[in-house]
Amino acid sequence: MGFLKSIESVLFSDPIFTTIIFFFMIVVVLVIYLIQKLHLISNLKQDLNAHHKIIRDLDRQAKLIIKSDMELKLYQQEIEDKLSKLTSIKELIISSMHILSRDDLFNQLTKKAVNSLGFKNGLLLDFSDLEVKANIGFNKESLSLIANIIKYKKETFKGVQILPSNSDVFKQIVSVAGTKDILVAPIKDRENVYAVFIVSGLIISTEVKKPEEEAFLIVCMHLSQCLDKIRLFEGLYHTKDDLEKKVKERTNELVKSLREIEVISKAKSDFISSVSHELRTPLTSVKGFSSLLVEDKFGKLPPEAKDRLSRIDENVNRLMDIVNTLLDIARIESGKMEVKIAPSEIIKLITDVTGFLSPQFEEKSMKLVLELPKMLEVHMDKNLIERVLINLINNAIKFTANKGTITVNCQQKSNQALISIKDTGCGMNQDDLEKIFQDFYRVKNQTINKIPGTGLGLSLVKRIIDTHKEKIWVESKEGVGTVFYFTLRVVKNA
Amino acid sequence: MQGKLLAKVNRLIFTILYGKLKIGEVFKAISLKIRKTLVNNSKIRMNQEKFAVALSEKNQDEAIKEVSLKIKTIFPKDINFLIILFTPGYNPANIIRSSNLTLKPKKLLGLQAPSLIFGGRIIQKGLIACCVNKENVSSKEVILKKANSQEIETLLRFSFQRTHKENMFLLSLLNPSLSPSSYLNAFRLSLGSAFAQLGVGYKNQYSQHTYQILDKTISEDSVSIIIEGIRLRSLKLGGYIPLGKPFTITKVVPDRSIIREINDRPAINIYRHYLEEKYPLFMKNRLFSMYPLGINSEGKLKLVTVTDCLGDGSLVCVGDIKENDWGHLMLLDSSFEFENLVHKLQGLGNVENSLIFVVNSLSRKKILKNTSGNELLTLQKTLGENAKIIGLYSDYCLAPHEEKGFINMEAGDVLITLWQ
Repeated sequence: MGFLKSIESVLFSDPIFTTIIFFFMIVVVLVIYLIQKLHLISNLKQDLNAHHKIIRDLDRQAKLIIKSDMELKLYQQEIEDKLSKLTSIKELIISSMHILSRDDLFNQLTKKAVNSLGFKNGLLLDFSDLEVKANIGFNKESLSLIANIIKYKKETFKGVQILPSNSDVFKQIVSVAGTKDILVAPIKDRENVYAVFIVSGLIISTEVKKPEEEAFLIVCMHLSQCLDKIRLFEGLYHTKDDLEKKVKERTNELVKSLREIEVISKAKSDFISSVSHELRTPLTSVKGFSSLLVEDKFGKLPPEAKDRLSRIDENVNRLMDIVNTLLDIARIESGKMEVKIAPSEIIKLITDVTGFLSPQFEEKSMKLVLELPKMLEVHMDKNLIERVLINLINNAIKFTANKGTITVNCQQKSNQALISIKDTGCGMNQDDLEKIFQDFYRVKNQTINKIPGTGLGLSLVKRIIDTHKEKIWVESKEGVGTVFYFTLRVVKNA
Repeated sequence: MQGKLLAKVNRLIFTILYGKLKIGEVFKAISLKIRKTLVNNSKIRMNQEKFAVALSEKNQDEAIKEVSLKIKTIFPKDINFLIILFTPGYNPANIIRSSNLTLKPKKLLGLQAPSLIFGGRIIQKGLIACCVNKENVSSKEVILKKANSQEIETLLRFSFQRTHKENMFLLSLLNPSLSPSSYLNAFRLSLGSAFAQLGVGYKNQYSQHTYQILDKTISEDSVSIIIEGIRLRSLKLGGYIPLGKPFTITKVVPDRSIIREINDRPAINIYRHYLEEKYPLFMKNRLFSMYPLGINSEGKLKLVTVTDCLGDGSLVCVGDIKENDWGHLMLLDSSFEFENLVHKLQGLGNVENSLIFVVNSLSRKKILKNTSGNELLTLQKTLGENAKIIGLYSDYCLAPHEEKGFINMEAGDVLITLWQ
């Protein structure tokens, strides 16, 4: 208590001292308060810094997220674009696969096709005339400048698939196009550079990478192949064209010759026809009188005269025969002969003809073999086929030695009747066989030469069969014999 | 019903057996009964169905014929109200002629859009018909020519001055020539910001001609239609997440929706800041729409899509922007949003006998690319196979704020509206 009182007396005894003491105390309190506040501020600053750090971290993370997201989206877009590129390239390849014209091929290089390669602009310059075949996005100035750059640089493109970025030509094109994202490649085969294809201005990426280069190369190679194919086709087309022209020329020549031959043939037929006509009238008269004389109708002739007259009569017969044959040939050739093809019985005709010729068989003691079916109806002109049979059988008799055999065969083969006349005569060689049906042709053979003939019989036979639109042919072997075959159309349900 | 009919038939047969009725009369009676039953059934179905939707992807007249046939199977009688959504390439004159021949609607409304939505599908080319079978449905429309905010306000006020506010909404289709901000200001002043509205708009011309059909009138201008008798409820599905620290918009050109400066620096710097070394790639590919801005609006981040960048670093936007608004850069991750779709859709209430009208964002479609259809498929699966979902794509939409209710302009979200 005493101590407190002593302090009180000290404090309040001197008012100045008391003021100082109070002031000091206030200062102490303020200092303590300030220290507290400073501590609080320091804590808040720490918190703020921590918050700032968190925000910075968040911002950093946000940056990472946005960047990764953008990259991811661009990758996605790139994948989609590549798929779309592949599809477009596939479409371009498919659509241009069968193109056979250069212009049509270049028309395929559309904006879509260039965009599908990942570029905005595309240019195709034909090397032959430096003409722009396709242009997407290049201005006129750039076109002429690029054309001037590549004009004399054909050799530069020969050895490369794609122009390297360090080549002078590439650098010059880059300076004209004003962009580095550019690709230049020749469209060529092993020897020739046809065109130059340039693409520029990437759509998405900032630099040309391997995929863009690969896609561009694929298209260039495809275009090269197409152009090569077109070149081959054009070559082939020209050859074909030339060939066609030549064929046409030759055909014209042949047609011309044929017409000339026809005119000559007609003149010949007309000549033969008129001459034969003119000959036949007096011959008929000669024949009439010679026959009457031989038959002693004008009184009996001395034997020598009769003998000479008989020879005249025989020769007149032969002459009449020749004239008649010639007239028939001429008629057939000129189409004046009336051919009446109708269903008729061939077996009966053959037996009639062989019956009619039986005295000649007997005269030469020949054996006649008939290998015939009971009946067979064919389409024919009966009179004309009768002449064919007479001529062929007569020939067989003439060129076969005594006691020989003549076989007449007729058989049906599907819808045709095959008639053959086979003899055991001297036969013919191959050369003769080819010419046997020609007018006035006679086989040069000692035996045959002795036998009289005009060389018109077989020619007439051939023409008759031709008018029936059927076939005739001959098989022969020297010393063995000859077989003549001809066909006739069988009447259905015969 | 069938049981009753059978009992009636049995009774008739019993009557025949006792010779009280002739056979012809019996058949007449049976056929009459069957006809009555069918008509009743049809009436029951008609009474149940309020909306009918049909899609055709055929060309011109064929498309109208196909949708008419489909609609007629549900609503055999004349149609009260018909809305036709169509993609470019369909002749509006043909639509008017053919629909008046086949469906004979009392009211015809046609809206053209770059892409449509039907069920769980995106329709790039097609025609959708939507019929409303409600007797009290009516509409009144106004064509908005290119005009300033004041003129639009006068026009809206004059056109819709005596409209009741219940069970009605304003359906607007705004073409690029009309400034959305001007329209929104005019709308707020004339009808009040709480007036229900469903608006779709385009910032860029997506086709050479854009047509709207109002009965027999074909218009290339913007249109606003008051639809009475239908209650509109809406829900937004976003899936955008804010990234990084917030920024403040410091300078704008409001009428043209241009942000000049963000944080007192050229607006484009916001992208430069986040993309750093990837910024040149971003600029080369103009990927602005991938990362929209989320601007604070009454506690919610509304989406503002950036469509382009000007030479001075300003950003051209689709959305309502003001100086001193703060926001974030946004990134779309819709997986979470659609995982919780069932929960979200509960907000719409009972969707039976309703029409689901979806307004989807073109920028969202651009971001999601091939997977954008998956969102619609999920929506269809969640709502059920029988849910009638139709819609269209637009650059931006005008819809009520989810909490405050005032009309907001947004770009990037999926707006799901329920018409009842």
